This record gives sequence, C-alpha cells and structure tokens, in this order.
Amino acid sequence: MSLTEALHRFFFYLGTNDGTLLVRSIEVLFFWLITYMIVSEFLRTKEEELQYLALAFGIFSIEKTILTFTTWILIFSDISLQAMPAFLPLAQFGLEMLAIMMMANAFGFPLFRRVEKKFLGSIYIQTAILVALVTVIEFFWLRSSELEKGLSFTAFWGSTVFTSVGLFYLLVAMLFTLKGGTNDRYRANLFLAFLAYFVALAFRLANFWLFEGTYGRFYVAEQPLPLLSALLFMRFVYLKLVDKATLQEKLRHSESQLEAEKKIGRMKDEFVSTVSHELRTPLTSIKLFVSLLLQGKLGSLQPKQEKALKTVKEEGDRLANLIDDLLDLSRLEAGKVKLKLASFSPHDFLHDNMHYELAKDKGIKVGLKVSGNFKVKVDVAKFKQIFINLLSNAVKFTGSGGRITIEAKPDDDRWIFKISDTGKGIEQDKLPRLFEKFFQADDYMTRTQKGTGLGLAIVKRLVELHKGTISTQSEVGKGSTFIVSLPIEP
Amino acid sequence: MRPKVLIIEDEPAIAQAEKLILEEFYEVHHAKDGETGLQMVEQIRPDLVVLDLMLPHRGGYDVSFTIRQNPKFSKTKIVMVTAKNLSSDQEKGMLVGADHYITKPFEPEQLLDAVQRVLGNVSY
Repeated sequence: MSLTEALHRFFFYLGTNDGTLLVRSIEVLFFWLITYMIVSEFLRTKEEELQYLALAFGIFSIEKTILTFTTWILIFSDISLQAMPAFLPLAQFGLEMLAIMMMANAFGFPLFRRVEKKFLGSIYIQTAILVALVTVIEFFWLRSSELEKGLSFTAFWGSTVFTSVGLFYLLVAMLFTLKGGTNDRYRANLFLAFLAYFVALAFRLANFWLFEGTYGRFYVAEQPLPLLSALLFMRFVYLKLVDKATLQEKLRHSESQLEAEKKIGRMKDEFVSTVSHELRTPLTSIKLFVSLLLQGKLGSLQPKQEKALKTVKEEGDRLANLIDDLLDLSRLEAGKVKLKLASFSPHDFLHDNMHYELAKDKGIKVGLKVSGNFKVKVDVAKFKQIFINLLSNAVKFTGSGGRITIEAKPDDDRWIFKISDTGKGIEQDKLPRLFEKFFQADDYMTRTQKGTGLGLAIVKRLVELHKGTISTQSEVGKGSTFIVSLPIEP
Repeated sequence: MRPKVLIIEDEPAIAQAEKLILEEFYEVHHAKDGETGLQMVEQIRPDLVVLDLMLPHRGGYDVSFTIRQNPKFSKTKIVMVTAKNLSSDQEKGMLVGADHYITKPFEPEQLLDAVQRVLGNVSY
C-alpha cells in the first residue's frame, strides 16, 4: 500500500461517519480542556480580559458537544437525520458563530492588547444580531409545512448566513493579528489558528454553494481543520499562561527583594542615626576643649602647640561635617526626607555676595549669568545645600586666578542651574562614578577644603528629591560644569 | 551679684567645658540628670538653665515643660542643647518653652552668645 493510497484511505475514513465522530470527539476534548484552563485562570485572577476568551471557548465546547452528540446519534441510533429536531443543528451553527465572534473580540482587543475597541467593543450588539439571525431562520423553518423543505432551507440559507458571519469575524481577527493587535511572539501561531478555521469555513461555504453541501471531498477536507485550529489555540493559550506565570514569579521575587532592601535601608538609617548621635557627644567635648585651649582660657600656648591644636580643630570640624553628611545621606537614602517647597527667586539668591566669600578669599573670580525675575518652587534649605556643595567643590578644584561661572535660566517647565569652573577638570572615565559615595575624582585637596567624599552623593539625592537631574561635563585641564535641571514646580 | 546659671548635662566632659566657658561671667551650678536638675532649680532659683535634650530619668523636654508650668519660675530662661539638628526637634523644644537652642557640636562662643542674648546682656 503506497503512501498516497494510505493517505487517501485515511481521509476517506475521516469523511465517513465513524471518522467524523472520531475527529469531533477529539475536538470536544480539546475545547473543553482549553475552556477549563481559561476558566480556572479567570476564576483565579478575575481579569476582565479572560472573560471573553472563557466565553468563546465555553460556547465552542458546547457547540462541539452538540455536534458530536448529533453525529453519535446518527451512527448509533435508528433516528435519521430528517427525524432529528432541526433546531439542534441550527443551534449548533448559531453557537459556532457566536463562539467565533467572541474569539475575534477576545483576541481583537482585551486579552492581549486593547485595540480597535470602537469596532469590536459592542459585544452585546453583535450577540443580539446573531440571536436575531437565529430567530429569523428558526421562524422560517417553523413556518415551512414540509419538513424536508424546512430542513433544506436551514441547511442551505441558514448555513450560508452563519458561515459568512463566521468568515467575516475570522477575517477581522486575522487582520488584527497581522496588524499587531496581539503584539507578541506567538502572533504567527494565533494567525495560523484563525486561518485553519477560516479555511474550514470556506470549504463548507463552497460546498453549500457549489454542491448544496453534498460534495464529499470538500467535506473531508474541512474535517481536520477545526481540530488543528483548536490545537493551535490551545498552544497559544498555554504558552501565554506559562509566560504569565513566569512573569508573576519574577515579579514576586523582585518584590520580596525590594521589601528586604527597604528593611535593610531602614535598619541602616536607624543605625547611622544612633551612631552619629553617639559620635557627636564626645566630639562636642573635644571641640569645646580644643577651642578653650586655643583661646588661651586654660593657659598660654607655645606656637608649636597652637599649630598642633589648630590641626586638631580643623580635623574635628571635618569629622563633624562627615557626621552631618552621613546622617543626611542616610536619611535621604531611607526616603525620610520630605520637601518643604516654597517660592524662590534664583536671581535674588544667586546674587547674594555672601556665598562667594570663599571663592574671593582664594582669588577666584565669580561670574553670574542669571535670568532676572523668574520664580520657581524649591525646598530653599535643600537648594542651598545643593548650591553650597557644588560651589565649594568648584572652589576646591579651581586654582587662584581661576573663574567660576554660575548660570540659571528657565527652560520650558524646568529651569537649569549651571556651575562651571576653570579648574583642573575630571577625567572622562571618572565622570560616571562622580556621584558615588566616598568617590574622590582627585586626591588633590587644599589644606582648608577637605571634603567628606559625600557631598556630590548628597547633591544627587537632593536633586532627585526635587524630581530633577544632574549631569557633568568636563575636560581635563580646562574645567568642569555641573548642570542641574529642576522642574519649576516639583 | 552675678547671674546664676544651672547646667543640666549628663556628660561630665561637656558639663566641665560649659562650666569653663560660663564661669568667667556667671555663677555656675551643675546637675547630672533631669530629676536633680529640677530639685536644684527649686533650691538655687537660677536665672538661666542650660538644658541638655537627652538626659537620663527625665528628658530635656520634660524638665523644660515642668519649669514652664511653675509660675514661680516664669522669669527663668532656658537654653536648650540638642544633638539633633532636625527642625522638628527644634520646634518641639521651642514649644515647651526654650528661649534659645544650640546644636551639638558647638563652639564656646555659641554657648556664651546664646546665654548672653537670652539674659539680655547683649541686645538682639
């Protein structure tokens, strides 16, 4: 027996009543399986999107059950096709179209992406039209006195109408799938599923019209296609559900990770806050006694002793600053700092000469390019902290005779604040790490301007707290520019 | 007669330094905790209390509040010394009746200045 012959026999078998029953039984099984999967997912998540899909496959399953039942009766009982209540095949056709309609709706927008809602959204109207169609066709069947005539009427015109509706919906569904209605990697799978069903219905319609539903080859060719379609749908839904489950698992994992990080952050903040408080107490007495010694309150000092004590005092101040910075940063990182926004004039603030004493002491010129009369909202104390940190940084790395330029101007719904220096600049590869804690781009430091290594990290956090951004441009030997962009009303 | 200042401070080193700073101009007394501090306020009737915020037994707020509740001490001034530089703490300190506050760590001049201002020796 050749392969062709075997295939021929196989398809012939499929075309017989027995074969049809086999195919339909498998179909029923698959459709109920898919329905079970979707319904259980729907009951678990209560997602509106799954509702249509559950309905579509539920109706499909009922339809396939009726179809299989009809076939079963035809084979195993004495009841002839003519003697069967004609509303049964009619209802089965109606249900099939309803299911296809629901399916086109489900895949067209809700489950995977909301598109073309206007067109497909009116699911109640579409259902009503289908029900009306069924009613009209049933009515004509009831009116016809002759059973044979009525049956052929429903078989021909009823089937033609329903099949056409089905073809239309499948075409729409295929178009949406192609257009990207379901923008995912299983699109080809979905398209093929619709196509298989479409071809099956096309065969059926051609059979009705060309051969009044009697042509065996078309009938045989139609048979395996809905089953193939069901398999493809099942694969699609299964892959979707697996994807979703994987995604949820990942989400749960990252959520618990975030929660743990937050908890550690809070613990760290409490720890830093306690430690800094404990550090301040001895530091207070150290600083007080050093000052008293330096003031000669505890007896006069020799020059060498005085010099040594001055160093102790400077280092004490630095330690105090470090403790302040640590506490600030820790509170910022723990999200404990809230903004107290107030109206603020960058022009008035930046023109206050008091800020620039430090630069002038070092022989650095300060140039201002500030747009007049624009008001913004900032936390004034925190902006001052940003400004002082950036300015003292610029002063620190700019030599005597250098220049610092400060610019501020509104820019749409934001405002830009720039501070540029003619200092030694920062190497490109160090720029990205500039805002890290304890990162010093250059270990060159003046005696009087020792940093804590936390200044820029704090600045970045403070800017971000204002929903702003900070960036740096720099060229070694020419200088650096820090650009802060803040919303006018954070 | 020199004005009387009572230092309520549990850290002996800080108390000693504060004493050194203030005793040039004032008659200085010292209490180690809130409870003793309040007793000494009764006995000595100081013109001003330098009050640490974090005290054992009875905290600075509590002491300040108790002093302010008593009409006998309506003229007693309070300078609060706090290790926290959070504005909410400062506000709370002012609320229970501190006339001034300074934050740890501070310089000798800051303490002297605060005490002198509050006692009216130096005008604002």
